[in-house]
Amino acid sequence: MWRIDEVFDSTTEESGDLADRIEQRAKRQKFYIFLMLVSTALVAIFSMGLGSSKSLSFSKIIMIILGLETPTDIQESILINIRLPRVMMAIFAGAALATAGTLMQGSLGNPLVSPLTLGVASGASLGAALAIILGFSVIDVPVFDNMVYTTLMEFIPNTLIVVNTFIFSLIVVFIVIKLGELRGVSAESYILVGIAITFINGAIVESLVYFATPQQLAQLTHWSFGSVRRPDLTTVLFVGFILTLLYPRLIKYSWDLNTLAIGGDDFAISTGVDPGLLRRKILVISAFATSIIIAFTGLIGFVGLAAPHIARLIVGNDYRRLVPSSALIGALLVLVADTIGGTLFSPVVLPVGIMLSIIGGPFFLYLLLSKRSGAHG
Amino acid sequence: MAKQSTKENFTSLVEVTGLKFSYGEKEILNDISFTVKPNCLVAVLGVNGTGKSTLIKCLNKINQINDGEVRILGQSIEDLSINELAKKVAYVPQNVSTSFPIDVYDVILLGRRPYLTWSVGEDDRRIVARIIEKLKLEEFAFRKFHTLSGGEQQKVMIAKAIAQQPQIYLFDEPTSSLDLFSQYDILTQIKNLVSDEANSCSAIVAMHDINLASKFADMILVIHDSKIYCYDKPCIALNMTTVSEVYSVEAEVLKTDELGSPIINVLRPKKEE
Repeated sequence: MWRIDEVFDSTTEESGDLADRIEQRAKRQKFYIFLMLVSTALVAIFSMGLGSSKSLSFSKIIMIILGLETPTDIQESILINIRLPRVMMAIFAGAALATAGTLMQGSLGNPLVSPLTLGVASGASLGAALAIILGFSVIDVPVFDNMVYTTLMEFIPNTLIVVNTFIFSLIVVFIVIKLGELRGVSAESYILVGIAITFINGAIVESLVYFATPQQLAQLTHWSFGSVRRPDLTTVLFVGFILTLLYPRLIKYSWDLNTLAIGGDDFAISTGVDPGLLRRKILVISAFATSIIIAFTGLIGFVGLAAPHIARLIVGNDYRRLVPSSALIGALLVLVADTIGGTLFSPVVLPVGIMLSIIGGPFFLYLLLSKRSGAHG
Repeated sequence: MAKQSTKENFTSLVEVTGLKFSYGEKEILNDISFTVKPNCLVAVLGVNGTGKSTLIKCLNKINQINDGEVRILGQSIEDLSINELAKKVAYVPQNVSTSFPIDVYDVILLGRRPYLTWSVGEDDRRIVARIIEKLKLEEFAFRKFHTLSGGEQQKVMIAKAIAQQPQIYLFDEPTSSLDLFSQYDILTQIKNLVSDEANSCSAIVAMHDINLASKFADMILVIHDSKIYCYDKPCIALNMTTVSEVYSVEAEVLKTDELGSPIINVLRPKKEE
């Protein structure tokens, strides 16, 4: 028989064999993530080489990056003001939406959940419709003084729509979270309330559309096709900055999600995790990240559902690996979809939202059917 | 973060007074009061559905009690966060029916979760490695948890509970679906945990096998009609009246000696009067 003290005594030697095996395993796991990181970087560089300016080819980009060739002023301007924001926004949007999707699927214990499930998208549509059709925007409200208004106008193109979609999607998510809590903090109550609110918002948007002029209708439709080509460099850097602040918090939740996935709420509580609080935190942070992305890009939905599942098929269910992997997969998906959408019928650019579903959908189906035991419920 | 022998000495580790719990309208537990001393293995007995598991879950906030108070190491659990509580109380569920593929090593590492600030430290890894050694789990440390047998899973869960460095262990029917060897193996491990005088840990174990309880427990707590029927040493608690009234069977009680644990030999179901 052994004594408990021996276990927590920090002076005794530990067994070498076990430690070696632990280290080997950690190395293997890091390798996968490294591989995905490299492929994302490669696609990003490749994508930088595509566009209407034929003088900037893939090989040229590599030369410029390596410092072997200096770009002309026009080339530099194209790279920095057009291609770089596009590629960066694709990476940010994909990573953020995929991470939000993974965390929400985990915290709600439901593989069909995506960042848009809780009504974020419907709130965003409502905000956009109000701005476009009624000309109503939250920043017109007198509480904002002229300073805030003009500064925002200066920095963000389409300020009215962007601010409106952001604020409205947040409002809707908070309503859903509050109503869900009234019904008890169970996973199912959030999902059901989210669906109900989505329908209500949908009805309001359609009523607005009914009275819209053809021009307004066209603008709204254009908005609803997600695109990563709208934001300029400042905006993209701003979005990236906000996401970087959020990200470490999200990764920390991986442990807690693992406890939930293993033994449900009871097991989580006995491991020191408050499942209700965890759900609320994750929903708020995911909603925030999702809202800020779709405020600038319009609706990009599929990546938040598919990327977590694809990542799961590759690295398994452990959230400590799943969260970073799905972010990379998400970035990769949006980047590839945007690159193909931009080149397929060049100079016509197909919106990334559509391309994602066209390319991602069948790919997702293929993965699901060829390895069907992968996803957990 | 490995604290050494900082376990405080209390005269009673768990104090329950006037505990009341109901699922909606249905009252499960009423006016439950008892205390658990250090180095004590308490077996909670009662027929199925009397609330043995419910009582266990009331002690670590899985179930929110309707009335009364639960004090753990002198502190009311109302004043403790779920994370703080997990450092004092570890709970081993009846069975974790999961299809979630995670390595056994990672499951045990989860026991360190209440102590983590940011990520797993060297100390945490060393503690887990040593628990794996002590419980002889090396063989399946890197197998997936859900592929293990019931007894093996139970052992892993005990390992995870030990990693939490608690003073109170809660077990919900730990032997219910195990073969004879595993039943004795698991209970011997639990007995070993609580009998270390230097560490003053205690365990509260919901059980359905009276004879196993008699053999391993220091105290027997019998729940009947949502109240405590009796709470005493096995040689006093387990008598013909208890068995007959609580379990509705006719039985003979074979006493090995005056202080030894009695053996219950069930003869037949009690006839309706």
